[in-house]
Formats: sequence, C-alpha cells, structure tokens
Amino acid sequence: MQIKKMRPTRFAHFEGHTDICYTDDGRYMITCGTDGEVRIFEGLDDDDCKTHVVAECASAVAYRDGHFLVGTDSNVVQAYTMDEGSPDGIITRFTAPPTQIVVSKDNKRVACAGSDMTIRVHDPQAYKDTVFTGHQAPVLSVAIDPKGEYLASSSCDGSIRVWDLKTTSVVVSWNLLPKTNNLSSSHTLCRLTWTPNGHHLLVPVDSKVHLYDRSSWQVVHQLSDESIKGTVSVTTVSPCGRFIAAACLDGVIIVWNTTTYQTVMTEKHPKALAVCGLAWNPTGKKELAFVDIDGQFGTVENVTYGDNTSAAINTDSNAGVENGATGGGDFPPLDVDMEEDDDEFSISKIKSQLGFADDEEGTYLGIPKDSELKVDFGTKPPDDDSASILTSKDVAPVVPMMKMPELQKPFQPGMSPEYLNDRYMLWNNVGIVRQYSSEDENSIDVEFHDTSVHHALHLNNSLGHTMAALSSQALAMACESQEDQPSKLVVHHFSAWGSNKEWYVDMPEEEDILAVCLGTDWVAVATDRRNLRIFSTSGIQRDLISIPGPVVCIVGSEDQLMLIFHNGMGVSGDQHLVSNVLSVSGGRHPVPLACPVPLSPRSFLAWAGFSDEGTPIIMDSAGMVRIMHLKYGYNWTSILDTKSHTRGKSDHYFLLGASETQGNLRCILCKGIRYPPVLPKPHVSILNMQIPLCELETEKSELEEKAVRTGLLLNTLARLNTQGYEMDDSKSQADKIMKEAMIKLFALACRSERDSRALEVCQLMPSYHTVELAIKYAGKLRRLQLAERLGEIAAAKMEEELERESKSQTPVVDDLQMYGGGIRRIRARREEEEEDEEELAHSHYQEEVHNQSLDNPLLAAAIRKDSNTISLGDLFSQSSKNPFKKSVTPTSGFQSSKRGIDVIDQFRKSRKKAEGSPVLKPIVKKLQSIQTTLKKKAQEALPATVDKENQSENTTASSPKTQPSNPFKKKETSAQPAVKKQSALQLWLADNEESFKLQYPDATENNLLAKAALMFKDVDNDTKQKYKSLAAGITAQTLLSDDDKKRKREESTEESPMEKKTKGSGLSKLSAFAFSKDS
Amino acid sequence: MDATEIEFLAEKFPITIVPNFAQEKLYLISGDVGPFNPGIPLEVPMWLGMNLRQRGKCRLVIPPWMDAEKLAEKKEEESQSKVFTEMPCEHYLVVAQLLLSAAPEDIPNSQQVKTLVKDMWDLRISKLRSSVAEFIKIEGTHAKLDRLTLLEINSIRPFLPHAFDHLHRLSKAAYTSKLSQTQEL
Repeated sequence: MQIKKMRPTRFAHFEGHTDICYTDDGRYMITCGTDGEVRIFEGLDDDDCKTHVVAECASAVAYRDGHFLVGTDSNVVQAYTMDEGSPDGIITRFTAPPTQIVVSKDNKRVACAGSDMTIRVHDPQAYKDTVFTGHQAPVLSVAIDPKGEYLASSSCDGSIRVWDLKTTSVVVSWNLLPKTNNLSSSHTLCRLTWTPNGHHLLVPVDSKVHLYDRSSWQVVHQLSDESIKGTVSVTTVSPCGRFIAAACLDGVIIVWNTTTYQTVMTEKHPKALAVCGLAWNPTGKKELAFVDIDGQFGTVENVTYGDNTSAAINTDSNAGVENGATGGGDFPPLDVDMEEDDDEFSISKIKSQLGFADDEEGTYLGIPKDSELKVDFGTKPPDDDSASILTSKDVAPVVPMMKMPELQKPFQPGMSPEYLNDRYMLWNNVGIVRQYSSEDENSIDVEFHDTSVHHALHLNNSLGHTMAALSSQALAMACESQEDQPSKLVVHHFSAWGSNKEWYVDMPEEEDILAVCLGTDWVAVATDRRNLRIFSTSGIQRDLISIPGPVVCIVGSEDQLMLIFHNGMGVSGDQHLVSNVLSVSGGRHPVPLACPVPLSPRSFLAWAGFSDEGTPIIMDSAGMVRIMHLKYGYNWTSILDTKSHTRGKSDHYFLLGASETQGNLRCILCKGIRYPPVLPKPHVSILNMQIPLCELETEKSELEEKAVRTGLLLNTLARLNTQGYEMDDSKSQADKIMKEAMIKLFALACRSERDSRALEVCQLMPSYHTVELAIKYAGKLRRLQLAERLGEIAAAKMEEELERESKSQTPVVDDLQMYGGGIRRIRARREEEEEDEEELAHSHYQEEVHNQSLDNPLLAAAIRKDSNTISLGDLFSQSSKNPFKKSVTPTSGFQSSKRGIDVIDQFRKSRKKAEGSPVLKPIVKKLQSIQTTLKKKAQEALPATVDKENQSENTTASSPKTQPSNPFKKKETSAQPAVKKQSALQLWLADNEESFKLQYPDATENNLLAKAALMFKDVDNDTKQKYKSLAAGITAQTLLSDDDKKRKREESTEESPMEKKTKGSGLSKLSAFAFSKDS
Repeated sequence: MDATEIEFLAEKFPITIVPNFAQEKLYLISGDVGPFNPGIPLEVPMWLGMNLRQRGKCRLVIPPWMDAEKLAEKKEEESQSKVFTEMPCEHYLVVAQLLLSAAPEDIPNSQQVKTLVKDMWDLRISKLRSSVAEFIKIEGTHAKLDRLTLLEINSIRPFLPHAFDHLHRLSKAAYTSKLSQTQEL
C-alpha cells in the first residue's frame, strides 16, 4: 500500500465558504465558492479546470446524474449540465440562500437546506417539493436516510431533528448545538450524515461525533480522538460504509473505522484552516477531498493506510452482505435486521449503479440515462477483492442479481412531459391539444390543423386530464384517479349529430387509465390493471382485452390499433418492448401476436404511430425511425436516422407523422431539448426518408437506397391494393422510380465494368420490361455477352410473371365468370389484331377462318370467344367446376415455354397497344394528399360498377386484379387461340361422347380428351370441316346478340347437337392443328 | 419603376405558409402551387400567402432573416461596412412591410423588427446619398454600386439622372459663358 499523503492545497475560489462534491464516477470534483463560480477539476492536478459562473455567490453544490446542482445567493437551487454548464432547470426555490444540497443514493430525492429555516425535499420524478418547517433559525445541514424513511437536519437554533419523510412530522429532536441566528455566525456547520446502511446517524457535536441508533435514537457511541482540539463541523461516511471522516474547525481531518471505532488516519490541514467541505471519492480511490474557508481545496490519498484490520473485516462483511446473510456485517449488534435491510439496500443501490436516473426525460419516461451500464451478472468471489474492496459503491457489496432495466412509463405519442406547465398533450396530424396548468388556470386548448374539421376548442380542465387523443371525429381525454374521484375517460364526439356530444365513463375503482387512443368509430384506453377497454365513439363498451404486460402506449388509426407493452426482461439494460397491431372491427389482425419492437441500444420509445398509409412506425430516443417491413414478417426496418439531420448533440426531432407515398416524415426540430416548446409555436419540418445504408454519399448507394425505399413503398401499395384502396397513381410513380433506379444502377455497374453486378441488378428488376431496356443498353455498349445473359434472365422473368399471373387469376375465376361477358367482349376487341397475326404465324391450317377474320376481325374474334365458351360449357361441364382454370393454366404454360424471348421482342409493340386501349380506372378514391385518410371503396359500389361495365364498356378490364399492367394481356391473347383450336374437337367430342365412352370405359376425363383428340385426328376431312363450320356458325350467331352472353351460351350449347345432326360430318385442318398443340 | 411595381415584383417571391385547409394543387401560369395540406408547411408566392393570411386560411412562417437578433447583427454589419452589404432578401423592405402589415402577430418582436428594418433602410439610403454627393463632388465619370436592392435603386433613379442633366447643363452653360467671355476679351 502506498503511503497516505496529504497533497499541498491549491486555489479554487476566493476566500469564504466553499463546498465540494464528487461526480458519481469519481472522475471530477466540483467546487463552488463565494465568487459565484463552479469549478470542475479532473483531479487535483487538473490545471485546466472548467469554470462556470453561476451567480454572485454559490453556497452549496451537489452532483446528480450528469448535472451539478448549485445553491446560489439568488435563493434557488439550480441544475446545470455537466458538459456545458448550461442551466437545466431549477430544482427548488427558497426565500434565502440555500445552505446544503444532498442527493439521495437512488437519485430520487434532493434535499436542500435553506437559510429561510425550511428544508425542501425535491422529488425530480414528480417535480414536487416537500417542505419541512419547524426550525427556528437557518438550517445548517440535512441528511437523507438511505432507507428513505427519515430526514435529519441541524439548525442554527441549536436543534438537531429527525423528520419523517412522508408525513413531514418531527420524529425526534435534540438541542445540542450552541444557538446562533445566522449561518455565518454559527460556530459549526454541523454536517450530519447517515451511514450507508441507514443504521446510524452521525452528528458532529462539539469535539465528538455522536452515533445515534436508528430505532432507539440513543447515542450508541461517541467518536473522538485526542488530536481533535477544535469543534468537529463536517462528517461524512465513505461510500463503502466502513470509514467515517470528520473535519474540524482547526483543520484536523480524522478517519475512523466504523466497526472498530478506531482512528484510521489523522491529518492536519497545512495552514490549519477550518475545513468546510469534505467528500469521499465514490470510486475505490480511497481519496478524500476537502475545501477550506480560504477557498483552497486539497485531497488526502490512501486514507486507509494504517487500517490494519480493514482487509480482514472487509472480506468478512462483504461476504456477509453478498449472501444476504447476517454474520460479519458492518454492525454486528444489529444482525437481526440485516437480512431485510440488505434487500432494501441492494435494490436502491443496484438502481443507482445502473444509473437509472431521472432527468428531464427520465422523470417522465423513467429511462436509463447513464450510458455506463455495466453488465454484472455473476457473483463476486469474496476473497479476490480484499484489496479493492474499499472501493466504491459500484463495486462494494453487491447482491448477485441481474440488472433490471427500469421500465419506460406509459406515454401518449406526440405529447410533451407532464411536469411542464404549458405542454402539448398531443400533436398529431389532425390537430394540437395543449394543456395550460398554472395556479389560477387549468385549461385545455384544441386546435385543428384543418379548420373545416371543427373549430378550435377551449375547455376547462377541472378533472385534471393528462392524456388526450384526437381524431377528426372525436376528442378523448383521460385522467388518472385522484383522491376523491376515479380515473375517468371523457369523449367529445363532435362528429355526432345528436345534441349531446359529450360522454364520460368512470373506470372501476383502483384502475387507472394509462393511455388512450382513437380510431374510426372507436376509442380505446389501456389501464394499469392491464386491460384494454374498447368503446365506440358514442360510448358503447365494445370489448375488453387483457394486455400481457405493462402498457407503454397505444395508437389508433382507422381500424387498426397498435399496442406496445413491456414483455419480459431485456438484456444489458435495454428494454424489451413488443407490439401488437389489431383490427378493432374484427377481421384479419395485421399483427395478431406480439412482435418485438426494436430500439437502439439503451434508448426508449419516443413515438409510435401509423404512417398515413397505415403502416406501423416507431421512433426511439436515439432518433431512429423504423417502419414495419411486412416483407420480412413482422420485422422492422430503419427508414431515417433523424440524428444525422440535427446539428447540435442535444437537438432532437419530435416526430408527428409520416407519409410513405411522399416518402417523408413530418417532425419538429427541437433545439437543445426533446420536446417542442408551446410558445413560440414551432414549425413543422419535413424530412425525407433515407434508409441508412452504407456509404450513402456514393452514387451507387444512393440508387440502392432509392430502390430499397421504393421496394418498401411498393410493398405497402400492394397491401393497400388488396385492401381495396386506389393507389394506381402512386404505384405507377413508384414503379417508375424503381425502374429508373434499377436502370441507373445497371448503367453504373456496366460503366464500372462489373458485369456480374449488372447481371444481379437485372435479376432484381421488377419486370422484364426493365430487363429489356437493360438489354438494349448493354447492346449499345457492345456488351454482347452480357446482353445474351440478360436475355435469359428476361425470359425467366417473363415466365415467372406469367406463372404469377395465372396463379393470381385462379382465385378470381368466379368473378371472371360472373362478369365474363364483359371481359370477353373487351378482349375480343382489344386483341383482335394481335391474335390474327399470331394465328398467321402459328397455323397455316387456318386459312379459311383467317380470311374470314380478315374480312371482319370483330367477327373473327367473337367466333373465337364463343367457341371458347362452348368448349367450356360443353367439354368440361360434367367434370369440372372451374372450367376456366383448366383451360387457362395449360395454355399459359405452353405459351411461355414455347415463346420465350421473342415475346420480349414484340413486347414494346404489344404494350403500346395495351396502353392505347382505354382502360377502366378501378373505382376508388384517389389518395388525395399526404394526410388524407384513405377511404375504403364502398362495397355496395362494386355491383353497380360492374353493371356499368357490362352495359357500356366494350373496352374495359373488369377489376383491378385483372388489370393488365403488363404482359398479362399478352398472355390472354395467346391463351385465346389455343382454346379456340379445341372448339371443333370439342363439338365433335360432345356428339360422340357416348360411343367414345363405350370404347374407352376406363378412361378418366382427362385422358378421355387426349384420346378423343387422337381419334378426331383420324376422322375424315368432311367431318372435321363440318364441325369447324358448326363452331363458326354458332359464334356468328352469338355475335348478333352480344348483350346477353349468358343466354347465348345456353342457346349455343343447346343448338350444337341439333345442328350436328343436320349437317353430318366434315373435316377441318385447323381443328387438327389445335388438337396437336393441345396434346 | 415606382413602388407599386416593385411591390408587385416582390410579391412573386416565395414564402412558407402553414395552411389550415386542404386543397388540391393549383395550376397557375407561373407554376403549380400546392397541394395544400392542413398543418404542413408549404411554399407559395407572397401574394397568395398574403391573401390566404388575410382570409385567416393560413399561418405565415416568417422568413428566418426577419428575426430581431439577426437583423440587429445585419444592421451592425451594414453600419461597419463602407460599401453596401448583401441584404438577406432582394426585397427586404417590401417583404417586411407586407408581413408586418398583414400579420404582425405572427412575428415575434414585430415592433423591434420594424424599427430594425427601417434603420437598415435609413442607413443604406444615407450611404447611397453620401456616395452620390461624393461622386458629384469629385466629378467622377462612373460609379459602381453593388448589392443595392431594387427599391433602393429606384428611390434615386427618377431624381439622379435628372439632377445630372441639370448639372451638365449648368456646367455647359458656365463653360460657354466662360468661353464667350474669353472671346470677348
């Protein structure tokens, strides 16, 4: 061990009373003095200390959680940030200068003694002061009981009192000190202390230090030493609780061992000046810092030298406490209490170790602030640390247990903290709810962004509402229970048409509302009994759902309700939040089971809500905004790091909302604070989404980011589309952006000679049109090899698309059939040309029909359609319930496999045609604006529009699903001839079925067809011809009355056998061809 | 160009407003404006902003330079500098005048802002006048005046050339009379 040493003192402040404290990490010493300055020293040798001028004169200083608190001659105790020394809130006010500031171990109380004879205990979480009055003269010193029950104080009136912290009543009082009327004339400072375990109160009286027992309030011991000549004025106990240090007016500093009451160290101030401040280093440095009345400060290092008993006892006591057992504790006589006391003691200690502090955020959200959260899971072997034991409260007796992160308190997204007098109860995309609570006024102001929704409201907040939710239909407010009234939900349903628009409901006794939200036609509240109560906006209680954990917030949007709650323990000081997204009206729940909410390390949830498109979005306190990425299940992806947009470190963005289609977020920049001020009214700023990819400054990443972001948007649009919203504009726009980004990426890859990357880009392209463009580009660059490979990709892509189309078609087959007449007509007209061309290319057997169709293309097309109808009705009527499906699937497969790349070659042409033909816009409201709520298209509207289609629209597709955005049309086209070619065969088959079945009794429907085809091939030409013309005849007839397809179809099926009889047999080469393709 | 014409030009400058109504895009000859979304800031031409403000349809977002502190700084800079300094806005006086008359309650410290703008104007005009005086005194043939705003130029434009004309005429007359005198002698 090193020799203890008293270093020469150095100048800190002017002459006069000074005070000192350490920061919790023991790194800095903070002093204040009569010159009104606060100096922060990094050790005694720090030549470049930070100086902050705080007032004319500063009398007391304390450290609390990144802030230093200073009591000044302006009669306030003010907090300043440690980093910048900027004021950060007033802790409390006196009518005379404060004399001492004491922060409790758990940082949850700040006790201040004032010269105005009062003691104020400030609760930083509730922002409430408890005032202790009773002293008859300025209060000299206060000390908070580590167990949180008592408060001890000494005063110039000579009394020392112990107060009950809760009731503020005096528990015990002694008159021990000489009476004075003023702090400056007082002989002693009488700085009292509790031992860290709270068993004893140390009071410096005259030249001794009295140890009072907690329960009996009797003096159990009097510490004294022969070296003490003057009055002991300051006492303090080391953080480990094993040493008591005292300083006297004649400059003597003494350290005793708490167990043996032996003197460990005696030091004398070099100038024998009175010491007025004494502080232990909270870490294990065994360092004692002091300040004297001359403004000098100094330290004593290695104060335990000479404490020969320390090691042994240390180990002993440490082991005892660690096991939560008794023996060998600090105060052997009190063994009986030890166990429970230790428990209490540990919890508060663990909290303080974790640094769960309360500050402007912490107070209201209860959030871990300190970044130095150490994971300390294991137990500490008691014997390895006998040397380091003396140490700090960090390392000192720790009960082995997991560190628990403090749970975030429930909040309303878009609110500012409750302790502010003027605050936002809510700021969302409907309006702003402000709360003004001063002594003479308590009111709520509601302002709507859109004045056409409702005029502004001014309400008297007599119930003390703290939570609000606002939608364009209603305003919901809730308050927690107070002494005389239960927790209450009040709803102003201003879109109601009745005379009574307001209703309220009381929660059951002892159930408090913690969060409230509104959706379309419903209100929900979450309570501390973990109930989610759902009401209708007019007050019907609709549902009660149990929340599986303490709720953090609930948000509503239209039908969706997002519920975020704590669920289990996070690791390394993080919270573990999960979210559900439920559909209130029943239906399919978007996220039925709890999915974890991602938070940046050691951050808390700052905002949660839905984008204008209804996708869940969250923001954490680290400024990261995340959106649910439905493509990857219920996981989330970051869309913006708002911190990258702030200039200052303490600037924050306060999120208000987001629009995916516009790709931006609405937020308020708050400089130096987390929440926007009420006055002056802040301005909304718009931030564009930017997914934090790597190397965002490069062109490549920029394009990639664009592609990823657009991909997200497309997912959302696809989801909205299935939900029946009209998103065509945004979709085509997004498609365009996507294609553009992809093509640019491809070009970039080509230019940088990265062929394989270029190839990959193409594989990622959304459609083969884009690949097509890429091929052209590659061709221009004379990258023939690349172009060739791209051709393969294009082919594969097209096939894929066709398959997807055919798959997506199957579920809607019924609709298609229902509205089939219209569709067929549409197709007939639109595709006539192409079809004819294709036929030419495909079959030279079809000359006859072809001629016919050249003469009258419309007729030809109709023939085809109709023969299709016949074949469906006839051939498969017995076997299949879904004839359309059967005919389509094989043909499409056949088409794609056969044609491959040459389709691409024709693509442009066909596409042009498709665009040229008028297309019915699906019947939905446009997404009007960023904030517009999407309206579902009315279900009733659907039949009506369908009617319209059938009647008048010759050139429309029937529903958004069949809307041929790309090659779908192509496929339909190609499907038609194949189907058509069966017609004659089918007619023939229908006629000869019976004989056929006799011939092949064991044939199934499917191979029956194949066999029939074989037979039909062998049938003589005349028969074929006959069937061919028969088919043509029927379709021609159909055309005459194409208003009523259905009837026609029945007719034609009836006719076919009849006509067959009259005409006999014929032969058609076309039919033969059709069959051969088919088989 | 008179003041009304300059005001007309200044009204084309954009200003940010926060509308309290919803409206589709407006397709104007000079360009599209909108769409208007309640609560979302948006840039519109000054004339439109003024009109909407007068009808109580929006809140104006005061341009950042119209802040008492910044204006005081600017004024200080202007008074320290010999030459004209760059103004925060091409039509600072017009814009300030329009905003202060239309929505004084939207501007924090509007009285102070008003005074500062007026001070700045006075400073610059006096600078301009003194430089004109100097120009005439030294009988300069050309002068360069950068960073003058339109209104400032136009405040002396009708008068200055006219005055120069007169001066020229007078000096010419003086010269001819002198010449004739010498001839007579």
